[in-house]
Formats: sequence, C-alpha cells, structure tokens
Amino acid sequence: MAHRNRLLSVMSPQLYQKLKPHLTEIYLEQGTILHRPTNIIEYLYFPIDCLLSITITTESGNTAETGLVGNRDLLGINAFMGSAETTQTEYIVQISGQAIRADAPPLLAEFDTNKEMRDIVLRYTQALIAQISQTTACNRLHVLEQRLARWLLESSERIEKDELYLTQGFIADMLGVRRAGVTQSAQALQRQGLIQYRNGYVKIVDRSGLESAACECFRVVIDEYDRLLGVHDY
Amino acid sequence: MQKPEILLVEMDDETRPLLRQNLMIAGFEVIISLDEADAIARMQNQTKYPDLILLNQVGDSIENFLKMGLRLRSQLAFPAQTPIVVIADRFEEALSGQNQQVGANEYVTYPADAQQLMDLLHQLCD
Repeated sequence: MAHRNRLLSVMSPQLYQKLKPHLTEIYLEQGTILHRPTNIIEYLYFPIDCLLSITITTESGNTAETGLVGNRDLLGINAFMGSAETTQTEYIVQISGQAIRADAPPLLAEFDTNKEMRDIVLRYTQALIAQISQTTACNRLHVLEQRLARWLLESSERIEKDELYLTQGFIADMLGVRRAGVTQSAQALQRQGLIQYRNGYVKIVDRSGLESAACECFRVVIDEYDRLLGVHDY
Repeated sequence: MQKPEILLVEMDDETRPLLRQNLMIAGFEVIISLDEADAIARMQNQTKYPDLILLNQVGDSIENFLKMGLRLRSQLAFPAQTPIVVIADRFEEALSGQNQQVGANEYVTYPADAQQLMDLLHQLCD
C-alpha cells in the first residue's frame, strides 16, 4: 500500500527500507513550534494528515505564512543544504495530526550518496519554490477574498478533509492580513454558499464553487506538484 | 423604510471594500472614510447625522479608537446618544463572540463572525 505522504509514496521500496530505521510516526498538536529561526534543523517532517506552516515574524511582531506543508510535502528542506543548516523561518503545526519524523543527518547522508533520494528531494524543492513563487505573486495581485478561497482549498487538499478547525485570528496571521479582513471575506464566501464558518471552524460545502471564487494560483500550484511528483493517486 | 446610516472609519484598504459590501447587503447605508480627518471632511456637508459611528481597529489600541470615535461625535456635533462601535482586531480567543458596552453609548465588539457585528449594529440602530 502506498504511503499517505506523497514523497514517501514515490520512493522505491529499496530506498524506503533504507530510510525506515530513521523514521518515527508521531502526533503533532496544533500550535506546536517545530523549529525556531536560527536553530539547526534536527528533524524533517513528512505530514500524513496534519498541516504545517512555514512562517516569518517581522520585527514589528506581525506574522505571515510563507509556505504551506501537508501530505504532499516535506518540512525542513533546508537540512539538505548542509549538516548545520538553519533558516530565518519558523515551523508551526497549524492543524493537529500524524506525521513521520525523520532524523536529519542520515537523510542528508542518503541525499549525498543516492541519486534517487536526490532526485526526489530536488523535485520537491522545485515544487516548493513553485508554491512560494505563486504565493508571492498572489499576495501582490489578488484580492483578499480570492486569497482566502485559495488558502482554504490548499489547506483542505493537503489534509484531504473539508473541515478545518482554525480560528480567524490564526488564518489572519497565515495570510498576513487583519482579522476583520478574514471575517468579512468568510462572510462573503458563506453568502455565496461556498463555505460554512464560525469561529474556530470552516467547512467547504461547494469545492468547485470555491475553486471558481479563488484565483488561478490554487490550480497552478497543484498542477506543478503533479508534474514534478506524479499525480496524487492514494 | 429608510435604511440606518453608518459612518465607517476603515483604514485597511483590503478590508474596506469587503466590509462596505457586507454592511450594504445587511441593509445599511454606509459613509466610508479612511481616517479621522477624512471622516470629518466627508461629514461636513452632510445635512443629517449618521445613526452610528463604526471604527475598525488598525495599528493602535482599542482605547485610542474609542477616543477617536468620541472626538468625531463631539467635533461633528452628532447627538450624544449616537452609538460608537469599535471592532477589535487583536484579542484573546476567549473574548471572541463578545460585545462589551464600555460607556453610555460606546461598545467594543470581538466578532466571532460577521453576523455578530451585523446583529449588534441592527440592535443599536433600531
């Protein structure tokens, strides 16, 4: 049976067996910080049904999400750039759930010596760059209602659930906007029959309608992941 | 029946059009202003008073937004009973869903959703 994390599922059985002694399935609680800026990255995370965020907090204390990590991703890609690598970003658990935690040093050693491992990691790096690039343009060019619709779809797709247990304050932080902007956008999406929401909970009730309300960025990023990592078939 | 009229001070460019649209759909007339000075300028040629002053907190304390509302009501010579509502932006989740009366006609709302705000505004304008 294919693994529920896409990157683990595209590995050959031989590679997966080599890595397996270094992999541990764990449960991650919402709000847990997995990495703080400047700390050396000790673990990588392959999410199964949790949602993780890569965020940046500015000197003024404002936070914004720079990357979204779910079951088609790997958190901690910077660890492959060297044995003592860090990043200015923070990693936080956005939605609780299961993940595979991996020790960084043995995976880096495999990356240095195994072409299959290197190919998978580099293709994923390209997919992550595609996501971050698209988000950069999206934040500059698309209105908040479109961005919220896209973000809900991206989050839902990565945990394969229509219900998201997230506060509006948390969503506002992730989108780098004010809470009122999220509240009013959510109201507009609810009025169109696309979502239901109350504080701490959002349910997607019309996925195709929500895709129409979102900007094209959701579909562009999905297509790029599929091109680089294979179509999601589990 | 005449719709209640709200003087809105909304400094955030992204939220302003969304809030305006939602207020209008909820049955309010809206006079939009970008800040305190703009609110004064927009109201100077108005022949009637708004039914309520609504301020959305951006980058300053709730107390200072309440003071801004009091200054507007006073400088524009609105009736003293004109309600002032501040929408809180940053707050503990425990406050979510609450509307707090902080003066005779002054309120702070901590919205759990947009409907809570609309319900409060209708209640204060009726």
